[in-house]
Amino acid sequence: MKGLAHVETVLVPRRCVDEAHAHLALVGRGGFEGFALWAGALEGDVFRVVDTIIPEQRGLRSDLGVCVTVDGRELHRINVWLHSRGLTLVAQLHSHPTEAYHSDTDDTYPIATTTGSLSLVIPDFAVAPFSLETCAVYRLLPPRGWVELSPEEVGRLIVIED
Amino acid sequence: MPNEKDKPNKDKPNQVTLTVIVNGNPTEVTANVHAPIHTVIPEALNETDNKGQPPENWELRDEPGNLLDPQRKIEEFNFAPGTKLFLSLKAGIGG
Repeated sequence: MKGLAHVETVLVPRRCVDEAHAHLALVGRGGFEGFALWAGALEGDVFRVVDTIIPEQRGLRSDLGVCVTVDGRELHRINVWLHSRGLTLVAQLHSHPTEAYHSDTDDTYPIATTTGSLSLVIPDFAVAPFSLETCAVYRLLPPRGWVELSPEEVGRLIVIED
Repeated sequence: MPNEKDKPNKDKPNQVTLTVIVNGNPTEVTANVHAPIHTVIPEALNETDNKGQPPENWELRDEPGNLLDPQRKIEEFNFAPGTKLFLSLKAGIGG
């Protein structure tokens, strides 16, 4: 078996969690959503995260709400960087101002697009310390699309290593 | 040693094999040299199992980041052997 769809464990070093969360909290204090990405390598049915990527991004705020965008040139830069290091994306993390859930925009324009990828939505502009229990965690499982994982599934799948 | 990729197939001279990088991962796509280059996008996405955004939301660039005109024929690019094409999203949005 190969590919992200068959991954049963995602190992995430605590520093990668902290780097992502620190960015989301920082932009959140300014009232903006933020994006972070986890990259690493596949080892059988285990995916080992080795880096957090903070893409160049633009937070937008209007009467309609808030969003965060990453443009094509930056996504190209990340693609080249990943390839040069033999890494691949496994997850995107982004913050919401209040509740954590996958919006229509999140479903339509994800950065993590490989089947089996994860999307973590962090509530309340990441004001609280990071906890998988407060995140909404989804997995891309076509043809079902982004499927929300139960707390038990999240606990089995994502292992944060201190 | 010459790279056998990116050369026309002897039996099918109109075909060429291109290396396309998606989400950091390389895949090889066989295409007709007379076809517009955007025709390689669906196959590259399928081969790398990238299904999170539709083919029209992706764009091809060379390694330095120059955007490749999706309507130009593959043969018009005169890719050197071993050329890597990078297929990336036009945008990612969280909202």
